Amino acid sequence: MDISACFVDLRDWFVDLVVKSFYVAKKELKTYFVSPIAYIMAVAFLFIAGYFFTMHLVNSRRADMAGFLHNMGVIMLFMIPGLTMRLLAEERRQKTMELLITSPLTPTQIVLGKYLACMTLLILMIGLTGLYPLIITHYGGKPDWGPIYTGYLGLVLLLSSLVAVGVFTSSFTDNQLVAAVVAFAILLLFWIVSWLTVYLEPGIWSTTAESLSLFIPYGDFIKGVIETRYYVYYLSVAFVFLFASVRMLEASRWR
Amino acid sequence: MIEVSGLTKLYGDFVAIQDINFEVKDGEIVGFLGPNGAGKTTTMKILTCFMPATEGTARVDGFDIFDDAMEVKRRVGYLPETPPVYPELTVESYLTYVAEIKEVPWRERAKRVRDVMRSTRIDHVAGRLIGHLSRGYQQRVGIAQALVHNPKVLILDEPTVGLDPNQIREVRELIKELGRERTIILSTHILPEVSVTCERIIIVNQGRIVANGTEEEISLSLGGRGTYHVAVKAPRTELEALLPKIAGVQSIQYMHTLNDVHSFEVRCTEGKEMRDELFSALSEKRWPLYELKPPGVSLEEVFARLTSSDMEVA
Repeated sequence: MDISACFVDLRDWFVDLVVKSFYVAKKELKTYFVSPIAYIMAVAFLFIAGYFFTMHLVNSRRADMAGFLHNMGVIMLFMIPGLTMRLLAEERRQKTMELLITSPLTPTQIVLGKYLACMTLLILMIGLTGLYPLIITHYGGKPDWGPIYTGYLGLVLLLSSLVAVGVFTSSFTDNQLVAAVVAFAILLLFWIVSWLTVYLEPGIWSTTAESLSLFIPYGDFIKGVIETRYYVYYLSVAFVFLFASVRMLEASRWR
Repeated sequence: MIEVSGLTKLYGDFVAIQDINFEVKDGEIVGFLGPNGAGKTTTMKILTCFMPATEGTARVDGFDIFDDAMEVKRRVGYLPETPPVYPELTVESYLTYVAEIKEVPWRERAKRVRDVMRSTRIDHVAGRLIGHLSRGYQQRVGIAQALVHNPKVLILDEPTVGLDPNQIREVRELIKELGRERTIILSTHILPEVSVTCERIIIVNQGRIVANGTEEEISLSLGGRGTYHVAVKAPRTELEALLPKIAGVQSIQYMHTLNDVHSFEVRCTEGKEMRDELFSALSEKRWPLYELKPPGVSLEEVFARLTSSDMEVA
């Protein structure tokens, strides 16, 4: 086969991927917004976010978002299992998976669509907190914008990993609760793994524990430090868990 | 249109279907009949590429269900046992979503959705949430979903389950109407359903095909053994004299008389079609023929015989 035919195939594959994932994502977002879950989550999130923002501002009297952004990362850890648990598990339970599988959709398109829907919802939510730095400047604060930008960038990257974990745990069960609990356990592990460094001698194990953490790079982003390996790590974690979800969908057909 | 060859599916050690072979021609409506757990749903799930077979394969419109699954999926509309609907969506937005993922071009989407809603008579609930609809309406939404991309092949797993008698009649009529330009396989364990809607019947039992043919062929192959039932309004003695003289008739047996109409069981040479002879002999005498029933057993009897557990029919 010559190169141009290869290219055409690849382009068709990509267009198909984008279009079909978009349809799946659109339906999923609709589902979020017709059920109370998106609103409850958004209200709870904004309430807690507002609380932390106010507390940090009042107590530190510094025009920055660092403390607030740190808390956001941890809040996401608790929220994401609730948003991802139903994504694939519910399709199994309702038997709508039969519709998806027997439609001209690939498992990749299904998984990617679900993932993008959840990411969109979360980015919308954290986008609303973009108001906070504007509040600071309105009252005469002069925040250092660099770390705020990188902090939000880090938050989105962090989410890209966390949500992928949630999609994965939703892919192997038809029970939403199981999906949520397992997601939470894995995410918690990604957070507390760095605590091991306290007990370990400095060396290979200690370094490994530290680099496995999804939250240490986020801390650096908040300080305004961006390293290429952080991008690579977040995106690799997202890729691995999404890939595993696709394989779970394919494998379930063989049972 | 559909060629199934040597399809076998094992769930661990359990044999769900074994060596299923059949063909469905373009435009045919085929009824898949069998007791619960006979392998109807398994066969349908394999044909719709929901799950792969352990052995054997099938071709739909010339495409292999394993190697060209995408092409098969584009050509097949499938109604699973449970209608695959999202209770939180409205009927119209659900069907639009299905149209999107089934590759209906966007220009035609709204029109297709409207058309299938009209033909399945759910257009008056277009804006209602599916979760708020009755089981019967959800079933119709399920059928609409299978039709939205105008597939050449329809595979319907128990399409009338959960419907009330009126709705059942409507759905059967709809299926017949759809069958004019499509190939349809439908599964059921309701016997009148296949008699009414299907042109051909495939009976499965314990994962194997035990009969395949028209209702008449199957019932003929099983029983009757060349015995026609005849009821004629005529002088009884003359009738008793005439019937045995018809070529092919071996013996007759008087059954009963009602208002001068005499019923006979006429035993003929097996395997010979006798209706022509019987009719022309009686019409020559200008005797009104009240009943002429070909040999064969009722579908209920066929089903009972073929699917009773200890019976092995080749």
